Amino acid sequence: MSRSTKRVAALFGALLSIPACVPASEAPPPAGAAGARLEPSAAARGEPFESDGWRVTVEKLVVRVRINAFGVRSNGYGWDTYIADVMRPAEIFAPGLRVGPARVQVELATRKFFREQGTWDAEWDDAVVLPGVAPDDLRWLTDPVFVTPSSFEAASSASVLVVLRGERGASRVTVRAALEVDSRTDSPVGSCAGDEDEEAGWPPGGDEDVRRPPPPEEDDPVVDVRANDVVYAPFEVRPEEVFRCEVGFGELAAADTNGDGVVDNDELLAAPARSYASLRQMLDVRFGVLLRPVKP
Amino acid sequence: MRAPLLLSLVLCCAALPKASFAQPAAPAEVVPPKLLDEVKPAYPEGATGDASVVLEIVVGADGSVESVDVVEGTEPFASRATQAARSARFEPARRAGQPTAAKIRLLVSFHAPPPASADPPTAPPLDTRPVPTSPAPPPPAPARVAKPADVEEVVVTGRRDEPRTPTEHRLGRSEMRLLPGAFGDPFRAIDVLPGVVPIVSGLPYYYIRGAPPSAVGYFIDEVRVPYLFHFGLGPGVIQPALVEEVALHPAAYPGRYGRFSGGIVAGTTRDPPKELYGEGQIRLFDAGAYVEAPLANGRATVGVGGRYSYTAGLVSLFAPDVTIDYRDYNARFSWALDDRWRLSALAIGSFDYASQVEEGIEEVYFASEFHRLDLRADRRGSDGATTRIATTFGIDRTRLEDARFAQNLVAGVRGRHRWPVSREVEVELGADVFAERYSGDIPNRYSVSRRAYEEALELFGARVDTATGAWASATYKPRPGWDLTGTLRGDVFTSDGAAAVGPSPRASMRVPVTSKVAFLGALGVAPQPPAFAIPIPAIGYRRLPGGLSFAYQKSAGAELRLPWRFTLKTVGFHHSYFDLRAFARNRNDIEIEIVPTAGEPSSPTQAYGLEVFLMRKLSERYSAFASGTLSRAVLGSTRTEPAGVSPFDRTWVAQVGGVVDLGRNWRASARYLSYGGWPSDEPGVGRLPPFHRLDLRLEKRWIWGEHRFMGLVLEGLNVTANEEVLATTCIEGRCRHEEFGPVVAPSIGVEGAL
Repeated sequence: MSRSTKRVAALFGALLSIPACVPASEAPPPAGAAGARLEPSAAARGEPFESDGWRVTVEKLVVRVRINAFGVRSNGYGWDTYIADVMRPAEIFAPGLRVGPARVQVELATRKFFREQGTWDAEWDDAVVLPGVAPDDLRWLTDPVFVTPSSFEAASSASVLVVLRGERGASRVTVRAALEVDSRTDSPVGSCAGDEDEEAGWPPGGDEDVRRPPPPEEDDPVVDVRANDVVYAPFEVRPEEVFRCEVGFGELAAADTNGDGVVDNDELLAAPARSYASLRQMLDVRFGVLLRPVKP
Repeated sequence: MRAPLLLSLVLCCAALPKASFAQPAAPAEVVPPKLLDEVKPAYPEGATGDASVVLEIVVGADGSVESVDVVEGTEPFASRATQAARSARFEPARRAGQPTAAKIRLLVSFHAPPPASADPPTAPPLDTRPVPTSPAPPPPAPARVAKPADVEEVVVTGRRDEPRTPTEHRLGRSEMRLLPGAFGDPFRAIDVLPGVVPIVSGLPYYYIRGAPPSAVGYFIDEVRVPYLFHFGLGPGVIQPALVEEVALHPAAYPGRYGRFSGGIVAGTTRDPPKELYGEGQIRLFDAGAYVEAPLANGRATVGVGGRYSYTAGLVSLFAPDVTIDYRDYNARFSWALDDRWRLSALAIGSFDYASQVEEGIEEVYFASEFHRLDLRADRRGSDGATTRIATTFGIDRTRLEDARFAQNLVAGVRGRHRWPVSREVEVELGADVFAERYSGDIPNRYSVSRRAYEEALELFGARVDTATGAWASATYKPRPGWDLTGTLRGDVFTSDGAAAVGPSPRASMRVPVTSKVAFLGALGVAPQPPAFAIPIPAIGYRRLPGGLSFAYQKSAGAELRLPWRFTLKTVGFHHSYFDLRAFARNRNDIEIEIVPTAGEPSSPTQAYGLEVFLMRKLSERYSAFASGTLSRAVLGSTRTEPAGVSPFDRTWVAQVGGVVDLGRNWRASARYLSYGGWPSDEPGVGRLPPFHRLDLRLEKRWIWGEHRFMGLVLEGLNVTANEEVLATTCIEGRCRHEEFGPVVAPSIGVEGAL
């Protein structure tokens, strides 16, 4: 290599080194996810249970749930929304939490219509659909189950799709309901002692900011978040608890006014109920007990 | 009383750098330019003795003088000769009977007036005797200053490798530099052209015939440049000394260009010099230079240049926690293997960085760099055929907020061959393949929100995108001034399993109606893969979301040659765009969402309007230009969607300007720009107020030697500090304008050339 060639090469090399390099990303603070493992009870898996003398079998149980996780020390918050067939075990998680203890909440969550923006809640509409959810069920969940009579100023969609088959002697009744349940796992709503709880006001929805997470509670299960990993807290899915207190399957069966053996949403809405405008609304409240953390 | 002068001007034609790989053996087909007007430069006042000045002049295909460079001569004669040459008028050079641009050398001889003479000073006309025509290409011998009686061969420099289209607009080197408000940046100068509608004053991103900036491709020597300006608003990343001309193709582009729906801005580098050449600028915030020199007895050239900003140091004086930095480099090497083959390499790169230290941690807001290396082999045949085989390598890196880092490796090959089938027909065939490998930081699924994770996968997920294209183009020139061009081009795009095919037929024509009027027409289909509203290196949409965008381009107009060497070009256009990606406008914010959902195509757009461009070459002593655009861009104009005006629609853009050579190498230029406002978001408000801007430029040069000069440039964009209204806010019936700015950009620079 001649001297002039070397000079030219050196010049090129020097020039090419003038531009600095874009720095690579720094390592982010260690973070992970807090999860909930939804375990169906025997009744939720389809084994019959008794209510009002009826032998009740769960044939479909699809839910829209939101998981909230709160860092105990970091004040961090993570969430996500899922649609799951809870007749089988399901795992959901809230990502983006700093390493350390975090409280976990699971709530049944409807999709709300924002009156001011005139649109549905896009974030909640963007739920993760877990395997096993049929397309027809997805469409059923998307349809509004509540619309104010006067206009489309308030509306929400279902958070629970349930099909129950009841048998008593020769009588057979199937209940197909799309329920508008907004509940906290440890909320008193729907408990045997809390049927008149003011959280079950009418109409549901309204102006509340559905994206605002509920505050963490002392009773919420705590998991120890690990970096780049998920740690699950166990939750149980218990449809039989819905019928444990004041409402029984017999009331639902009685709502079959046309005698076709199928009780649908319209018949539930038309049927009166204690302390509620309709049997459907009563179910909306009672299904608040569907999910419960498993106490250690 | 002054004595009569005896001046002799001899037209000399000199070989140019390109000649070094040219072939002298071919039969001569080039007729050199012929001087039409008599030129009489006056003998400079205060000067003494005889003097000679050799000028290098580029005579355009229309016969006008495009540029004048002093090859040899001293002041004050050089200036006087330059002024005279700028006003000269030629019959253009002809190759195979067709007008073409040519570079010639002109010797201007000054003779001191006899002291006793009482006659007024006169100058003899330029010698217009016939000169030998050159073979094509020209001989490799290095050019020297011609003696008065010498006549060297013509080098036709009509950028024969750079096909022209009838409806294009083209700015030469000297024009780009003289435009006030462009700050010498060749690519920024295109906003003087009709059809180019600025988003916001000073921001060098434009809507062209209703198409957003994402639909406009920028190229330098057929190499696509990821971005042209530092931080969007800053200086250009290509050294002005490297650029010979810039062409705007708003429709029916040459076949070698594609993959953009809204237009092509194509820059061409200047020919390698035969002698040491360099330029530099020192400005308030940065300094740049480019130097190129011949090696190996003229068979090779090497050029290097770049820009270095000292903003980091300046900003730290008053904001020590803030870092703003940018720099770039340009380099070129060429080697003539023999009389026909030349190997060359072009390297360009740029770096931008902005950060702030917060609580002891440096937070990077934006960092980006790109590098391109283009290696080519060019062959020029004896029959005028040209061939290029090239390969491009590149690397892009970007760092966004939230510590997102992305990288893109680029590799591509292309080849084209253009040859004259007959005296009237020229054909070009070509193909290119490009592959881009994207990668970036993907966070752990559990450590970030699902939305952030999915966005990262969508934008930074590893993948390889390819674009493969081929084209065939034929140009028929049955008579002088005619140009009928048909092109068939097709591109295939793939991205992570998705694929799309984009056919792109094009046709254009220039048909003389009279000796001074020509009809212009263009039709074209232009496909494009999804692209961000403003290109960001290393980040792109994955899997071609929403499919390809398409533009259907139709335009027709006329070109008129007016007195005093003015040219008027007026074109009416109607372009239909489908599935383009554009900005969102939210009151006074212009949103550029870098999220996957932004890849969803927008409504169809119909853009139509009328463009008018009146210009006299800015290199003339007195020159002027005016351009106007009347247009309308309508969104959602289908049977199923309601039509609405585009939020960025400006119904008119007008500008007028001029350049004056004040003598003694003082040159002043001004430009007045005005455009209509956007439609307001508020119902019942109508359009926002129009915007007006005045740009000024004043230059003083001290010239010595051949190319050497030192210049002081004072330039200002929006010197009257006008504010621009970007939105109107109405509360309880009372409306208030949301003003932006004023964006004022003063510049004091020193530039020089070797």
